[in-house]
Amino acid sequence: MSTDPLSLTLSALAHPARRAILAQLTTGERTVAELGAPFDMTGPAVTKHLKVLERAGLVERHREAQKRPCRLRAEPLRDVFALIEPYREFWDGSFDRLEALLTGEKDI
Amino acid sequence: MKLQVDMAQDHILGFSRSFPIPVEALYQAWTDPEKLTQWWGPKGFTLTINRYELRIGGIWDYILHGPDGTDYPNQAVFEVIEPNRRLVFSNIGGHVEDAHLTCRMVVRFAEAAEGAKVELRMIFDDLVGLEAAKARGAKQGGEEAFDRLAIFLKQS
Repeated sequence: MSTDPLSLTLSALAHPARRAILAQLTTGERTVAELGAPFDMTGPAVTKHLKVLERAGLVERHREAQKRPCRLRAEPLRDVFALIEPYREFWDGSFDRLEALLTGEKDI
Repeated sequence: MKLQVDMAQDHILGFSRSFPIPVEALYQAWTDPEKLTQWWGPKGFTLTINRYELRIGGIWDYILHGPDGTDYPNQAVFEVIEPNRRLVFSNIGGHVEDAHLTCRMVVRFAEAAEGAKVELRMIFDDLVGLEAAKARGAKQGGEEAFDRLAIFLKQS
């Protein structure tokens, strides 16, 4: 498996539990316990996912604070957006035109 | 209705959307070349179809014309054709705002509460490799991309 930064980011994102963890972190720092609570995920399960996210540079953990809260890092996400964006634009634009075509026909 | 984006694996991009029309009309829009020329491609693009053979192994040869006059030639080969249910084709070539459309496209059609839904998956051999070849830098500003990612993650 590739270990370039973008590949690591994509692999990290390609798991629903990790996406759920990141979604929580978009609103602020969380401890491991706080991250696991909404999903009944155990501490070790959360930690396992955090390690993948840390390796991808998506999450940082405080070294000094006792509970070592986690923080989201935005930089790798910008690269993912740059990757996905042209495809999203292609389909968003195409489907808008498709809808206009099909619903326009309905009125005829 | 909103476009849903997902990324189940790191080389597969998924897009889905519902339309307030019957599934037969949706499928027909995807498989009638006269209709395709009216919607395939983002706003500002036009489509020329040189060849369209809706059969297994048949070829769809087309050119997307960008708003700035750039042409993006594409060639697709049909692999699966199940009316009103599934369409699978391999697409080669083309650039869309610097991105490649070289991938297998797996398209599923289904009835939905609001009419019909199309779910498509773009399966790339090496999505990251394409990206590296483009050497594209992040264009979006920090906060804006962040907010959009939050929405993307919560939908997944």
